[in-house]
Amino acid sequence: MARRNAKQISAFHKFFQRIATIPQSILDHWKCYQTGYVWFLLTCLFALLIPVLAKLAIPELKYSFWKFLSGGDIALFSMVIVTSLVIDHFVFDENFSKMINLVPSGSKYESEYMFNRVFIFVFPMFAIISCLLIYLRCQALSCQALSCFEFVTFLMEITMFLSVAAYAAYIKTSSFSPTTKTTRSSQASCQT
Amino acid sequence: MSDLIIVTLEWLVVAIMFAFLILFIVVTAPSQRKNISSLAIPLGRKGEIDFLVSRIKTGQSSAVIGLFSGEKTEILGFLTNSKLYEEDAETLIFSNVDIALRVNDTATQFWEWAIQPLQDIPEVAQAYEVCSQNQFSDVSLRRLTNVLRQSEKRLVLLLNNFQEVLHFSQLKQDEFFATLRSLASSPHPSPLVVVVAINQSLMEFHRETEKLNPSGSPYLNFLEGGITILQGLSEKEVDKLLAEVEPPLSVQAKQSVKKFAGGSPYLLQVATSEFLKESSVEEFELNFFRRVELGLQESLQQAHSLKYRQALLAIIQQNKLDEFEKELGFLEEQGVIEKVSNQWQLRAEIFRKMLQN
Repeated sequence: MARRNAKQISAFHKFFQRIATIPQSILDHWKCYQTGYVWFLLTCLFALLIPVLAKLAIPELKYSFWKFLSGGDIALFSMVIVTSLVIDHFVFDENFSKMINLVPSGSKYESEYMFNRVFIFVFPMFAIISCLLIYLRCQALSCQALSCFEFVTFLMEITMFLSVAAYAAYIKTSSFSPTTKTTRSSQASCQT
Repeated sequence: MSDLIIVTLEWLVVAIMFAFLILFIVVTAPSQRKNISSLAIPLGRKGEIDFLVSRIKTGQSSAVIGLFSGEKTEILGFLTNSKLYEEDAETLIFSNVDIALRVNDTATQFWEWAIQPLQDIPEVAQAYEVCSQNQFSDVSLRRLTNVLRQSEKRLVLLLNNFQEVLHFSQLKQDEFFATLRSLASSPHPSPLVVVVAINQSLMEFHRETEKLNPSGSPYLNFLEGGITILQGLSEKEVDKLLAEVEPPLSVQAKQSVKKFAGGSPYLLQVATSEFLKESSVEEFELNFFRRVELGLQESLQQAHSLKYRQALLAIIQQNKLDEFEKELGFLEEQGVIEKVSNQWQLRAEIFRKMLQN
């Protein structure tokens, strides 16, 4: 009984230990995939150039900031980015499938890594569907007035935008370095 | 009421999206880095350390082959850091034995010393006692490893200067090697992991021990899947390493460090730390030599290493080089010498100073 309790306490303790490591993980993620974040930032700036150039070319053009936020443009942009990355890497990158063989079978962490591998495939699909739904919702609610603007929708958009940024940073950092084609090795490259 | 449900659902969706974002970041964050990067990894040996750690975690034995005793000692010492093994750390018990210091040991005395840390582990203390009463015989050691397996513990035996065993008549016995092999190669994952630090290839070791059991298989064949050679670095790798030194070294300092340390990460580490202390090249040269002299003497004066010493002398004198083909290959691999225009020459000039002294 005592042993069972000890195991429960241990699992409880481990859960909180993991929660406590989240800030460190965010910091590690940021440091590790900085190159990818730079790529994402440049892509965003490039995308923003279009309205800027349009405004410069046609001074009469009216561009509403609130329409930009409430019309679902951020979600649409995020969806385009994540879809292109998924097609690039799931369809055209032959090394991507090597992620399957990252941990020797029988390893203590096999189930954990299996979850990670599945999650890395599931995450972009989740992002694409979410972005699409947010965009449709924004289009349905779209209006020029500030009163129409929904804080929850905006939060959804921003969360998905950040998710896509994280995914893009991870994928691009891995593909920029020839020695970092797989998850584990890309992590190893960050360690050096 | 329905509005409240909708609002709750909307916030739930936001929470799920946010949870997915955090989970993705946690999954892709380099988790091992948290532990390893905070430790002072021996310079330029990250890959080797990672490999050895993964072997220990999976219950497999390894051999660390390199010229410099100081570097091997540092790596074995580093491997005892429990932070490297994350959740596995609780199951590992380390025993670091320098064979060079066990000159007069019999096999029984060796095992008594080597597995001493098990005495303090409550789950195996009783089995250890029985083993001790049976004079650490082969059978009792097997029973002890079975108890280790049942209690989900693993003994990591780090054997430094293992080549010295060839010069200790009481340990250079068929029984000793056979017991070590059978315990370490027990069904995977083994409850006894052996990490051997040695300054010669396993092939040479096999050659020197085959007389003990001519018809049997080599004693250290269980290490063949886990050989880690402490290779020297290429010019490009050395430049990259020196570029990362903080505070940055001057161009002249980098040249001096490269000239004296060659491509050996161990010598580069010592040279760099010396240069950061000293202001002039002359002071650096003198202090670097003083600091590594004893270690190099030790590395080259062990019985087996005398051939390396002779090979280095042959390079300085540029004669009888044909007699040391194997040794020259090993020294080149260690980043100590190099072949330029089909001619062997020293890459780490510190050896010239040491041998001339």
